[in-house]
Amino acid sequence: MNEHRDEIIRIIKEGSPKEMQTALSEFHPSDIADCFKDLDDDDQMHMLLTLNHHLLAEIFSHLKDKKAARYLVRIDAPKVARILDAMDRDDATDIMESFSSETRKQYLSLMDDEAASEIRALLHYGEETAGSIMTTEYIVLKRGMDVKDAMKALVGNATDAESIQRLFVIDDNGFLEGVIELKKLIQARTPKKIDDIMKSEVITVKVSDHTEEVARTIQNYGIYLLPVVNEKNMLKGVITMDDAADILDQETDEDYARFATISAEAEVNRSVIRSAMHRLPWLTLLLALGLIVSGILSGFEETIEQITVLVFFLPLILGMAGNTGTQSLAVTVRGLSKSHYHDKAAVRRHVLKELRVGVLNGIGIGLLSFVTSAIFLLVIGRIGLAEMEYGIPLVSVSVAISVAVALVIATTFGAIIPLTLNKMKIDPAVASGPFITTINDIVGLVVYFTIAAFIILNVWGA
Amino acid sequence: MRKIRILKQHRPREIVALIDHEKREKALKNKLQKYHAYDISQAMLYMDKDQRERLYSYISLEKLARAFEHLYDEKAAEFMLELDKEEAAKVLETMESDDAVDILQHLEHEESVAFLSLLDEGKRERLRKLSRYKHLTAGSEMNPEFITFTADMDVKDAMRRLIEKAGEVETIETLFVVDDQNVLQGVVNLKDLIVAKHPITIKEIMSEKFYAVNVLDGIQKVVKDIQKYDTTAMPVLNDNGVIEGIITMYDAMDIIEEEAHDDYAKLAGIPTEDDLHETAKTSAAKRFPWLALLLVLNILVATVLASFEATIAQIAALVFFQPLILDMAGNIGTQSLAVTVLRISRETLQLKFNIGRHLLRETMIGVLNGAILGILAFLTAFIFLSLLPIGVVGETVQAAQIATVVAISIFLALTVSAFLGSAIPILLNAAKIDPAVASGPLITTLNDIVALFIYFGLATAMIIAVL
Repeated sequence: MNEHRDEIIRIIKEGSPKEMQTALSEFHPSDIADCFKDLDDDDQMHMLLTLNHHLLAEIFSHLKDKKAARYLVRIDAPKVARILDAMDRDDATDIMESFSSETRKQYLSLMDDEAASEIRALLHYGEETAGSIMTTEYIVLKRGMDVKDAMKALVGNATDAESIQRLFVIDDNGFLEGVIELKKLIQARTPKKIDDIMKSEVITVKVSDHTEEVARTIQNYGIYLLPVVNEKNMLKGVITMDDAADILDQETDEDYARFATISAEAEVNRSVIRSAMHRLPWLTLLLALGLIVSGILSGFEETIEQITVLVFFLPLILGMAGNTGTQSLAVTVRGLSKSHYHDKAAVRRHVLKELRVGVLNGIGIGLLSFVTSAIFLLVIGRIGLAEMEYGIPLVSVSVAISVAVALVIATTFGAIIPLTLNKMKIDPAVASGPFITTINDIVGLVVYFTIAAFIILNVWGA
Repeated sequence: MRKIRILKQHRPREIVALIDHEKREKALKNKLQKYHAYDISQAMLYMDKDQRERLYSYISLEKLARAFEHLYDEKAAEFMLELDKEEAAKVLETMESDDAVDILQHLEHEESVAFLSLLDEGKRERLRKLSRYKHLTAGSEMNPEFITFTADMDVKDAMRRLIEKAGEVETIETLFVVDDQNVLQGVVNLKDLIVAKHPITIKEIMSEKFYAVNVLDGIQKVVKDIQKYDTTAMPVLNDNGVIEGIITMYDAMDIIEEEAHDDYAKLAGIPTEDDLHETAKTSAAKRFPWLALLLVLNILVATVLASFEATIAQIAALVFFQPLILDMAGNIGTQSLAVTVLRISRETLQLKFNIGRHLLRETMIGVLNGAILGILAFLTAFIFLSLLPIGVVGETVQAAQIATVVAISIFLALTVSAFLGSAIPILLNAAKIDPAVASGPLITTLNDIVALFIYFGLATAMIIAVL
């Protein structure tokens, strides 16, 4: 994972203060941040006091925000202010959010005015919005500029910008007019004006847009530097692709976790008891819903007592319905998060498709379960079934028809339920699981025992 | 609860409408040109063949090539065959090599050979080279177009070279310095080059401390390194240190998405390829093998039940709680599975000590929740059974006895399921099998078997044996 780990730790533990600064500068701050977390309090303090604010700023950009804040409050305020000042504005803002408002004020008052006011502005935006993750260090150009002057402006400001792959053109009032790819600018020759090489169809996001939408926009369009504007189309900041990659990583983890009714965030570094409590509600809901299933099963008590062998296939039918339901649920949730069902026709098309998938697999798996259950009964070879008229084929037929019907219904519900929940503004990834499980159980066993009772009891005349 | 946010998807539909209704050829050309290639690619998915053919004849070659880069490989290959041979070759030539190779690999062998023969020689060689690397290695995903300098170059000459080559590469944020054997010596940050003033050589502004990956490295490692070190373009080297290509942050984003999709799909037991634009028949065929496998496993479950036939025949009421126990064991197992797979993918389970602690932790969660739910289940099952008409439960067996068996079974089944849900992916990972293979349904079926053994075993021991 981190091949430099031992060396970094040795430098921290053994090096003189002077050596530590120079020796650690040779490593990537991300690697140092990794090691920092695992050091004991004394070593951490030693590092915080010894290293200069530039290196600490780089290291702290790679720590998780809350952790970084917890370490920083331990050192004297002027140094913290210097560290935050040296960081990219978006990273500094993230850490600032974790301080109490008093501490935050203190640090801001110690920073230089420009940095403080930029961070204050960023702190204004709500959590998980484009505004909260954007940075204000980018290069702007004015319309009408000659490309030569633009190049000069770029050279003068490049070091302060987070990225210079794209440059942004604004008018006198700060409204976004267009973007210029750096590739285009360096190829252009005076007397060209930047208006000639500017692209005015610009893909932007709003400061209030959700970070997931931002990340998807960057991913879909392959934008290295995405402009963020306010409601009036004034340029407020930019978001870089590496930030988008981090968001996407977290979001996909969350999607995955919610599908299993857990929370990825809640699972990190929580005590056993808190994790257990976090997972309990869904299990309790399943218990409650499970009792409904028990109630329905008790209605078939007579059938069960007469033909015990039916029970053997109960988990099979319910399990298979559950499996297909989960499959179409996952496909549907995926489609929702990629916004594939943007109109009624698309929704209808999707549900119909899942229905068709259900029918096809219902037939296939139905036939297969007829064969396997018949073989199973032959091998087990008792239960008095063989003596009954058509005993084995009848039970197998019941199983097969039930599996087929349950599969069709489960697959369709697997698509309908998340779509409905989404329309009701309930997160389909979380809520669908227990409902699907229960509905599939109920459908599966009602179909099974009804068909079995009908076929078997009619034929055997019980 | 959070709502899934719907992204703006109106642009693709606008494009489809444009194709249908804009009859003025010049206007259509101009309007199409203004759309982003990604929107064009999405619109292509919603079009029929005739609409797409109209699109092909009015869109610029450059834009079409970019749109093909955004399509996923299977669809891109399918659409590529709708173009006539010469045009397709031109599109492939304009596309970035890594994306072009992906498409060629999804075509029939003869077709891809035919396309290749129409390409110019340099491009053909590059594509051939790329396609030799194994799937999911850095070599197979890298882009062989990048900009190199030599250390003794003056920055002015370097700038000139950059201007000349900028159009051919994906990103110019990172530039590479090589010796005469093409061995990577260092990297130059674009910013430093822009602000550098002649006379000064590249050697003075380049950084000799750089991160690189090997052509044979697994793509997952590459993506992690790119994210960790925030590199916009990661150089890919062969064993001799010669730079063969680059992998960009943009490539990494797509791979993150694919990997996440894979894990997620495995949790749900669906095939990994995109399921959204397929016909019902293709989807069904892809999901079928998985279901067939699970069916066979479920016959095993039936065997377990068959061994308890006598118990079931005597106390039919036991069956009432069977789905409840199995569902809860299945759910807690899936929870542990998901937590474990996440932790493995985040690499927080590297040390033996951590693994032990994680297993203990998950099992303890099973014990805690099992105890709470066991008590709850005892109460509710007892009330439930007492409410049933007399004779349903049986005269000799007390409701309290069944409720006790249900409660203890839930406690034990939940504990074991939590343990298995976390232990199995760890074992698979240790055996170098993708831990996500232990999909949700597979773990659930395994837990079914365990839970049934516990439940009917307990019932046999605690009730039948006593009777």
